[in-house]
Amino acid sequence: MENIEIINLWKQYDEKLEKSLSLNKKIITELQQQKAKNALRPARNYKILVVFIGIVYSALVGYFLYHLIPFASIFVNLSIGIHLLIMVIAVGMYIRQLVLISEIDCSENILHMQQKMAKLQSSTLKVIGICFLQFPVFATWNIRLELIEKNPLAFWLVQLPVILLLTYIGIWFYRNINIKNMDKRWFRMIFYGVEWSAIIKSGKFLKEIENFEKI
Amino acid sequence: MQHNQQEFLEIIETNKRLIFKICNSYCQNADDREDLAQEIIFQLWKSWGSFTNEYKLSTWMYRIALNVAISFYRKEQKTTNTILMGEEHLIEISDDNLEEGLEANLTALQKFINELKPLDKALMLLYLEEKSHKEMAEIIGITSTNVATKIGRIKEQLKQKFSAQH
Repeated sequence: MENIEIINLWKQYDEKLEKSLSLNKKIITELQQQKAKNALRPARNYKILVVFIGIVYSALVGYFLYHLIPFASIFVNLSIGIHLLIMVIAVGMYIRQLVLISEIDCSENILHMQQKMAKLQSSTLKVIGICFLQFPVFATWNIRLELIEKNPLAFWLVQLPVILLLTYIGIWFYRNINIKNMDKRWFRMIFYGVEWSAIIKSGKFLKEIENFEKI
Repeated sequence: MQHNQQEFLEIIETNKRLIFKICNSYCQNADDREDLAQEIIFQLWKSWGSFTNEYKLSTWMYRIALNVAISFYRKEQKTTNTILMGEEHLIEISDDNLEEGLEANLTALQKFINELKPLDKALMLLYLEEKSHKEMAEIIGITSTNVATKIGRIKEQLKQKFSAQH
């Protein structure tokens, strides 16, 4: 079939539609009066909730830390401080995502807008990666200088290797939790389920966009 | 505002086929199609106030309609807050046999479009609507050369599909 025949076929379809298709004006008027209908609204509401919980949690941890500083050991303070810092960064990243959602403009060119949307979805993985960086604090908060002096072997042979191992695991996850690894087995085992499939799909779509941009 | 609303209604009326064809290409299910059509019209209305003459009206419309359709297509949970008015629907087709009455070649063409990836589908729809390469490039966000190459490839696939059928 020649190109011209295909175009004519489509025109024929268009003519048929012209005769049989109508849009309900009552519903269009109703749509014009709506303010809240938005495809991105569920994602935005979820992020607002996460930001709210994150701020309340960080404030509580901060308050707790402020009152604990004079009494607790430097290791407890440092561990809670690192945990708080990472929580604040994660909340900040979610706030940035909310700003990006508000900036999304459907009248931008398709690749630009779709790339923004897919990046926005997959950036949730970055927040998870950052959270993994606090892994070592689970083994540092209970270090006590008196115990190191009394039983140095237990510290050097047990606690320190555990801290180093958790640090390594934390950094490894931070560096590897990204869309590039989404086809790997370990990634699929962690991010398994409906709640993650949208993020995985957005990663695949980003690859599709990249390929589409190539000639 | 009233004038604006009326003007918008006229634009939607003039371009209803465009909206329907996009919805039909991105949704197989009638309920999804209805939902997508509402979402497209809502987003067009939302952007209507900020529409400038920087681009042609058709470029602006296609960008919004295709962006909404692709986003909708990628969504896990399709149903949003569709307006329901009893038995009334936004899309009303008087000819119940519209799809059945179509020529076999047109049915095959629609099937081919449905099987394309979302971005190729957008390109194919623009090609069928006889948009220039320049306008297609502005809508999609790639160069005109890239548009020409991709359209060429899609047409080749289409040719093969049709020749395999006959």
